[in-house]
Amino acid sequence: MAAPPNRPVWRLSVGEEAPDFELTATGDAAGKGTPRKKIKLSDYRGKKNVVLAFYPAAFTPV
Amino acid sequence: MPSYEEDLSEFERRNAQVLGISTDQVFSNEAWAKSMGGLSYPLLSDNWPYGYVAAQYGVLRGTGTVERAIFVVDKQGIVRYIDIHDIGQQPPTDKIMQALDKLR
Repeated sequence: MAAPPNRPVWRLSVGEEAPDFELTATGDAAGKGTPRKKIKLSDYRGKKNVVLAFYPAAFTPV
Repeated sequence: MPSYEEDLSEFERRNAQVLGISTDQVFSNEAWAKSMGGLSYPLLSDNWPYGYVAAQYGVLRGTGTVERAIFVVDKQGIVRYIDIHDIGQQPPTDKIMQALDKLR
């Protein structure tokens, strides 16, 4: 049976390796005029913990 | 997202980098951040291909909406904490801090 269309089919679990990515980003301080850059998750490896905050869309109220 | 701005020094103290991710384009994220007075962390655009990263993390719904979710990744690149919330709710920051405290 197909999964309900409004739910993700699967989820990542704690203890799994975080899929690496490279995405275009605002500058290090979004909205403050810092230059755009590419950000790669693995660039933080061995250096910093990372808090990935997925959010539905810009201009959504919080 | 704006609530993290107040907690930024708390993230820094825990050697953690906050990255906001949505399917919006960069110019849209820049405008949004500017309208909030600017943020101290970057916003990433997961829009090409649309929602590709969100899908890999399992937070892209069939309708194309990205869920409001937090993933704490340690320095070895391993997921250590996951919090997925209803779209209208903000994940509790104290739980994120607790997860980070365990990593230090």
